[in-house]
Amino acid sequence: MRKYTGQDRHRGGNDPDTVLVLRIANGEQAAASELVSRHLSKMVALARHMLGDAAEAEDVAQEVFMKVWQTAHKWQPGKAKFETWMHRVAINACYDRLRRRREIYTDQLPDHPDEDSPGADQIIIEAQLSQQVEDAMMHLPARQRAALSLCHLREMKNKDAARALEISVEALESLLARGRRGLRKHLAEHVTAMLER
Amino acid sequence: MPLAMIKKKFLHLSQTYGNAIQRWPEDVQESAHAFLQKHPDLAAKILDAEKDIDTALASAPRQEVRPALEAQILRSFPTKTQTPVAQNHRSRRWSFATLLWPQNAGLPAWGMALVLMLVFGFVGGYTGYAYTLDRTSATEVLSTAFGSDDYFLFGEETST
Repeated sequence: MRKYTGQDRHRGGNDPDTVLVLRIANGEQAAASELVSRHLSKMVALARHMLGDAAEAEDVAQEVFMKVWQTAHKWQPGKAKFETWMHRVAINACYDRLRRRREIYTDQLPDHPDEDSPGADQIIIEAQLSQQVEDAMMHLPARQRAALSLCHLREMKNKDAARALEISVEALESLLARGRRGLRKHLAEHVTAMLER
Repeated sequence: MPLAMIKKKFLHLSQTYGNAIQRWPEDVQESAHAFLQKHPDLAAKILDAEKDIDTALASAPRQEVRPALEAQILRSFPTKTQTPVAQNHRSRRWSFATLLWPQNAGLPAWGMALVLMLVFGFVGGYTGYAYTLDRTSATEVLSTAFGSDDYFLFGEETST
């Protein structure tokens, strides 16, 4: 079994996950646990924004970590950040699911809180707005949604996001700008109508 | 740089990355702050125009991770004997199985095919040649090839 060394840490450069991945390749459960707690919420959030479905988002997160377990021993530090690679795997898994999906739009609102409780109106409005934003996101092309999700919701740096999407920074910026315009258009039509009701 | 050009770039960045300059690419943040200080009203107007989308994006649903999901994922982590690295180390040991299929010993499938072709070519070549000779000459050929004196040649045992 190969031991990770100080050299590995050096080879990993600024990637904080390098040592963890090498330990995972050596079968260390503790390293797997640390990687999961470090990245699971990010993978779930990204998949949720891409798919608009909680259960599917969890499935995608599971797929990503299964892939990590299977390929950790092949990881070569220094090429790209491991987190960027994980995002790429998650995005590709989401694209696959979107391709398979017949219907990508849903009118269902999340479960309403108790409408008699204090501040219930505000909570309902916030929940509805939140749902409208998710619906608006789901109306964007998948690549624009992925770009917005990585840069705005995941707060990833533009270079890392571009790498995760396997595109140039210029192409990423184009997706972001078009995504924001699309979002504004959709929200202008639907949120205003909802608030007027 | 002329104001019109700086304004155009500032506008492009705000329409791409939103109204929070700290989210813009690091290499433009300094010049963006300088523009904001030099032309506060114009810069604020440009940034405000993007505020609604940033607010909307901030209100996108956040999904909490269920502890059960984390446990489920960790259960899928292979035990030490199942990890690919452990498998590689185990399979690299030479054994009867690796003699039958050397791919386990690091020899690829095409390597195995090449070895088999050489072996069969060698055996076939000598045996075929032996069948074209009389008994004594054939036995000599086979003896030279395989280093033994006893063979079943033409259906009957022979020795030199």
